[in-house]
Amino acid sequence: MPAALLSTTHIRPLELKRAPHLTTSTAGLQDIAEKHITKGLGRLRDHVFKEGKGLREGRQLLDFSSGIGVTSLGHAHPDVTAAIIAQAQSIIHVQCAIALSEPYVQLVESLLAMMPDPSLDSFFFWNSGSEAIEAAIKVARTSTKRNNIIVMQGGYHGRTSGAAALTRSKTSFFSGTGPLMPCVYTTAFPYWHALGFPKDTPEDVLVDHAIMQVENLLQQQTAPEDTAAIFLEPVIGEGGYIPAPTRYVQHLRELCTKHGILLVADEIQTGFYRTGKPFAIEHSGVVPDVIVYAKGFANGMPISGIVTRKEIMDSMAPGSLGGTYSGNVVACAAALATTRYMRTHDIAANVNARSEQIFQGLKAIQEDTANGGWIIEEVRGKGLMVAMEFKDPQSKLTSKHHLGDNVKLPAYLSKLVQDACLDRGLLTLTTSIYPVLRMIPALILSEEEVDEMLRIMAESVKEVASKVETQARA
Amino acid sequence: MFRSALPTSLRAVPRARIATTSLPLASTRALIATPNRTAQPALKQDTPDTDMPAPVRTTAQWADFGREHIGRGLGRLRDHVIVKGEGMELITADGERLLDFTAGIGVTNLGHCHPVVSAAAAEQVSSLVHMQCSIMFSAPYLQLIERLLPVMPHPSLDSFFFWNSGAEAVEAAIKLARQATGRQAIVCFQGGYHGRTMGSGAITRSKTIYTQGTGPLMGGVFATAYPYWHSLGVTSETPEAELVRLAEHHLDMLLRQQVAPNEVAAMIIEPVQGEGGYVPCPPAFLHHLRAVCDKHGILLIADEVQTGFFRTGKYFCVEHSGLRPDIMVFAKGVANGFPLSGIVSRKELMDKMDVGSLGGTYAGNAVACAAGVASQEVFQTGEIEANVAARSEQLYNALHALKASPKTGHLIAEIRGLGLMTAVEFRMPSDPLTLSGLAPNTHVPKDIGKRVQQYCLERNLVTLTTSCFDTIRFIPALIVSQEEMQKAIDIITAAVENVAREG
Repeated sequence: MPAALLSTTHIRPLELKRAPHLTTSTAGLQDIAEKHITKGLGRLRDHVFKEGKGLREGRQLLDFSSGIGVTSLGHAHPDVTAAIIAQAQSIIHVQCAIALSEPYVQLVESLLAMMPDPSLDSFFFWNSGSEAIEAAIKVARTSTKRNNIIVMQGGYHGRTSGAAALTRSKTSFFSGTGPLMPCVYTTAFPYWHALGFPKDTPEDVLVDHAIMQVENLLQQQTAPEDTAAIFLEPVIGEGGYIPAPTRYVQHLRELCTKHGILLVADEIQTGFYRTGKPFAIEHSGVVPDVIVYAKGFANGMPISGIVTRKEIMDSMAPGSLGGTYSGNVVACAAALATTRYMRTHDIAANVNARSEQIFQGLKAIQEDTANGGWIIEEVRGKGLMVAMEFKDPQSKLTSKHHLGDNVKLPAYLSKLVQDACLDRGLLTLTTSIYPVLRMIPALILSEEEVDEMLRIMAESVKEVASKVETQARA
Repeated sequence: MFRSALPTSLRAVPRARIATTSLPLASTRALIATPNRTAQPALKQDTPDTDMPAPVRTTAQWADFGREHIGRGLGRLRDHVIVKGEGMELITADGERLLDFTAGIGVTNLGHCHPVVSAAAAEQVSSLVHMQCSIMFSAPYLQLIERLLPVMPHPSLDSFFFWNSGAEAVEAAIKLARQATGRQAIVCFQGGYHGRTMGSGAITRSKTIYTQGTGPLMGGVFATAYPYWHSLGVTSETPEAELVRLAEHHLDMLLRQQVAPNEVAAMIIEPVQGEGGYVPCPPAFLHHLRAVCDKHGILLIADEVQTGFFRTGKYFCVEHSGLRPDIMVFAKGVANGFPLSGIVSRKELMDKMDVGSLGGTYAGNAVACAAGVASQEVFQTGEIEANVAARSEQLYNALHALKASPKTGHLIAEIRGLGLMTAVEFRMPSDPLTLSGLAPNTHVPKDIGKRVQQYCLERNLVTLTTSCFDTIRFIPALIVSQEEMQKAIDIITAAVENVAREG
């Protein structure tokens, strides 16, 4: 940007004895953090990150977290970097209730082409997934003129008051901060562990059970004519990475259509090829009334949104949606570059190939009981949303093992394996109240990177299991 | 339209490495094939209904497309398509230059695309965009805290948490207050605005549009009176001390009749109400709140989302009154347009929060934090304070001249604000409270504010209205020059005179 164009000569420089200090040393930065960042924000490690490229960060950490499913194209993807830089020199903030910006409208155009159904044609952007969820709540309540919302046991939708009120995966997100938003009802999700059924229960049985529960809910707790929406993650995320069975999703669709309830697909973590299709709901063939998205579509810049049918969106009076920062122009530019990359490259093929490679590899580790695979209870997920649930001493369903009745397994084997992986340079995450380790790598990861992960995972599982075995023998 | 040379203060800033090269998309194709990526995804054949690259659209076509596919709930002042921003100017796709007296609702305090901020963002983007804050640190996150610590309005404010939007930061403040005190009730003020999410919307009392049809919202909220004549139902001539007395009385009644003080976690107030009409809070009332909170162990939250970062002439508005808040909320001006917000409180309170009770995937985005660091550099090395004082004096003089003039004085109920957070409340023929002091049978036009805004917009000056009363507000970037201010004043003056003439 030409320097001559922007002037502030009338702003006199202050006479300072020295320039404001800027710490750059790791130790110095960690010290600031210890003293001045709230303890409420937990942290996996106190590393200070300066750089990321693809799946590598700084001192050679192989990142299988992508910042909780955000950097789909890997850290600092050149297309996205270029778009952000160009935009940052052009205009950064065009308040969306004042005027339009090009990237905002072009992003709508790009997303329109990716929608699973032409009925999904009216958009609104906000900053975070939580906020987009809240927009979906507003649209559902306003368009149906009803209050009540049904959510899944184990579901996660965000940390703000409305989104947290819909969240059922862990109390830590909102404990001590209520009362939250009322009129939320919980129904069972077909996950064996949450239902209290053995792991090998056939999917049909789980689905029948969940269907029965939601039908009961509509008769006992929230009448259909009082129910505005059902919120569903097509793959439950923070609740443990459980894909929703197709028949269950289809049943919810029928229920919603029959009663004028909106089916809201929370695709914040599952969207944009994460599960191998543009949107995970497509696996079931169901068309939702609303899709909520965030995370992976702007490769790290803060932007989120909802899409629904114009007829539904038009129920919102002008001024009822907004937010100062919503649809930040630079974030729109980043999302535009990201979605354009996804639309011009066969991301799905890579996701499916790597997913198959990962699941085969992890199942092999699980089956290798001689080398610690016995600590793994279940490998599950979809596409590049991959989870390993470990045995849990606190659970009657998954605490059995071969080391003898008097041996109690450590709680959260998932954390121990995560630590062992991190020691070997692999970054993974845990999730849910169960001992679940999850991996959610960038969608552009290579065959070699998967091999490296599998190697590290095998070693880590072996290390953790043999420690348990050694302690048992002692 | 309004240009001048680079300020010397920018040259004095040590970190500014202005990287103006922007890589066109085409030239980066080669970079996509990085060496360690052997399984190269193949190019997908375009299906007929994808348009790659995007077809060339005219501005009118883009605007049409926008109207068709952007939710109706998002109201919009105009369907201009903005392509560029420079300092005080917005440039539309048709090449029109608008003088921006909104700063995107008080966000781009350093003007659009301040070079130091853009350079910092560009540098950060090539390095690391997203480092999820519950996984590990990013350097800019910590550097921003380092920059903010020395300018906090009170040394007790030393523990931070960043989120994306002002509404989210308000929600974080509520969580902190409830967890730290073990209490649930939140007291908010009539006319207050804190956001559009369920929690921040529940404590918003400036207009119903933000939440109508979307309840029930978050529970445990109580509202009390704010010292503003219009919402108290008295005339604008009422002395400030009386407004304060009335507001104190209503608060007292609230705590005796509606919610016991030992159940109140926090009171939340904007030191200048924003969407409620740009009404500065009298220091006496702020200090009264402090005393009541101290007496009952209630936390006092100052919402500085709009008033912070020199908007009112000081780094933070509470500095004017010397009020010490327990929690301060900030956003808007912190990163000159990048989505970043936060709360700051004392460590003793923050440490009461359970680990993991705060977070958010995007919270504290590294690029936004880097922009925040650069913004603080400019705030801390340029004499923004002096410019705000000078420009606001220039503006208030002009507005008071309008009030004093026999041509236009009868249109204006009150001029108020602090620093460059300025508003003119117009009289409304339908509202007798706004007509006090007028000679009987004086004709007062309808919809004065909207008409003034419209007139200004036709002459390429962008302004905003605010509140449920007829109020227009002026919030230019804090780097506005004397010439730019004078140009705006001339247009505003002509606008008001025009409405007066039209009747």
